Amino acid sequence: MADFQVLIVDDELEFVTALVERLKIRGIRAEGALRADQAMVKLAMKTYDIILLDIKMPGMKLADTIERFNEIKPGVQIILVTGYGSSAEGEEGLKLGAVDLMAKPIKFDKLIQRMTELTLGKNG
Amino acid sequence: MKILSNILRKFLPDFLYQESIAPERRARYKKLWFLVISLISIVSLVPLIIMTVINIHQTQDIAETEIKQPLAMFAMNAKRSFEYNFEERKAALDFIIKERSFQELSDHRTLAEVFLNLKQSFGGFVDLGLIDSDGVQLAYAGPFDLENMNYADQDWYNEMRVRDSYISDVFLGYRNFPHFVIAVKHEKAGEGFYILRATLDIEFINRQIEHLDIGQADAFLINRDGVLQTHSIYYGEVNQKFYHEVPKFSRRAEVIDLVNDVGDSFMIGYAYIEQSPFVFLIAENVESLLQNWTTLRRDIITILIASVILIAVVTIWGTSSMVDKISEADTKHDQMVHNMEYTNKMASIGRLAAGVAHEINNPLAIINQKAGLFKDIVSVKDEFPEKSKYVKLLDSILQSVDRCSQVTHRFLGFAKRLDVQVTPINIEALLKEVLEFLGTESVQRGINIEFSIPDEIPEIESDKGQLQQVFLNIINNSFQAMDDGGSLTIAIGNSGMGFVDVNITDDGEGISEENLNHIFEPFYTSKKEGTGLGLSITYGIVKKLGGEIMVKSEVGVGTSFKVVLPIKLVETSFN
Repeated sequence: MADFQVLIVDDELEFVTALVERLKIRGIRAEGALRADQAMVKLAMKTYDIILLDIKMPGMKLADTIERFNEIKPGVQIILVTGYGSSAEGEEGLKLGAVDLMAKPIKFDKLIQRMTELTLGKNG
Repeated sequence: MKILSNILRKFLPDFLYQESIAPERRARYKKLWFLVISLISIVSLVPLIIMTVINIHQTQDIAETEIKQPLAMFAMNAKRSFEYNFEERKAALDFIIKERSFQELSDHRTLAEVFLNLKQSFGGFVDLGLIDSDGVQLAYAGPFDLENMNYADQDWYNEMRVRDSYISDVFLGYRNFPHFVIAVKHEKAGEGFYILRATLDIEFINRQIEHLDIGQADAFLINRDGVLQTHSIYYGEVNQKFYHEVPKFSRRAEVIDLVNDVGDSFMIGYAYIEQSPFVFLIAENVESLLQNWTTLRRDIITILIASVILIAVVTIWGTSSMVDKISEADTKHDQMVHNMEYTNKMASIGRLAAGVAHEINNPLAIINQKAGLFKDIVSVKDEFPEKSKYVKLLDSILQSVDRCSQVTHRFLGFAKRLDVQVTPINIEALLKEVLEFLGTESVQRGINIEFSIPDEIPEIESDKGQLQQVFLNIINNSFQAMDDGGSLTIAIGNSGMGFVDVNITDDGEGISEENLNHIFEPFYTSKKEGTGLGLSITYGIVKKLGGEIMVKSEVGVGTSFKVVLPIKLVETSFN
């Protein structure tokens, strides 16, 4: 099926684990991180095509995080996830290079479709 | 009538006519209005009126004194003059009766000689006679033939029996012309008395009156019984009755007010002439006397009335505009407070709702993924017992999550947030697209839609999708409020200052005031079906697009929404 690797960064453990498992069932290599620094370590050590990043996590500055991600792995596709309707941070994130902003709860099919599109674009 | 009410309308304060002012507030303004007018009126009018009254009284007193003093003076002069003249003539007769003997005076020729001397020296004498103690005229000098006349039965003669001298009333007598008598008595030792009696023409009195130089005034004599002794301009001829009461006796000259039978008011100066039956009167018509003063009083009263009117007009006008200004300020203040409160309330509700939605979205996301994972696991495994039942249950959970997220997303305006795209928009075209979308409903229900669009409506910069949502919500609401066959008016206008407005008016059931106050709050709905989110989202979008939305409604008449939008969407108005 789809051949890409996903890093899910969210402080909600249950959300991360469920999503990781569902992606794995579909043959997508997925891993989770509960904090931004943890995600950076993983990003430095492994290759990921897509990062799913919650825009609001304790002790995290979104702009810094996106910048750091881009530094560690230039060209990584960042999809922002938010539980908020409107936030200046989401807009800012998009400006800083995130490719999309999706609202929680994310429709799983839609997420898969979007990730496939993004990686196809990269591969194509 | 209409002109009068128009003038009145200009003077009365506007707040009396403004229906938007609450009754208790109007009552307060009315009270203030009356209070201020009363205070200013009292403070300005009372001293003015008191001053005028005092002024009128003072000038009246002065005027009356100015009239009374000359009258009293004339009366006093007349009194002295008459008394002097009567006394002089009495003294002359007294001298004669003492100087000449009874025999001499009884002689015709001697008496005639004496009479001639008397007439030449004093004047006024008509004749002279000597009367003995039996009342018989022994000798007579004068133009009539009155010798041997017997006066024994006459009043004056009887008076003389007890008195030394006498002045009679004016009478016609045997001589048949108005005259009066001065008589003096002389006692003969042991032989009784005899009387020297002189008649004086009334002209003697008239001449003295003329000498007083009293101008237009009416001066005359009456006796103590009130019978006219001389001609009077106002009261008639000799021997007629003076129809007022005889003025009270006084040794000094007095002035009294009298009103005659035709209502003319007279001021009368009078003085009793002592040692005679006469009272001197001088009458002046008060109206002619007070003419100057009446003119002055009229001027004073005219000035007073003019001042009162001026003060009243200025006071009422000034107070009205002052209270109106207060009313306007209050209304503006209320409006501001109301707007501020409303904005604050909506902002609080927005924050609360966003917070709640966010907090719900996170667990919802977990439920979504867990249920999804559950379904994945069930689906993947072939031998899962009652697999289809589980899949169905899990689908149901996922659908419910979906419904929840639709609510939270709509609520947060999330979808719109992501879709913000500013493009030039022709509002008319946009509205027509919205109506097309609703087209079948309006046709089926026979709803008449009227457009009113002036030519000079500029294109605006805004988000097309969101504006569509706004008008779709409003028109949908209108449709739901209207009966079949109702009519909807859509009017686009240029508000100026870089704004355009869209007015959507229906003739539906209307919205109660209570509902109107909460109409833009989320979850507030008067419909049986509906989330109560439609208009709150509309409100949020319009605000986000830098506009304003207002609603007016009357139950049974209809509802009107007004959306004001900026022609150029400023970037900052997004946040």
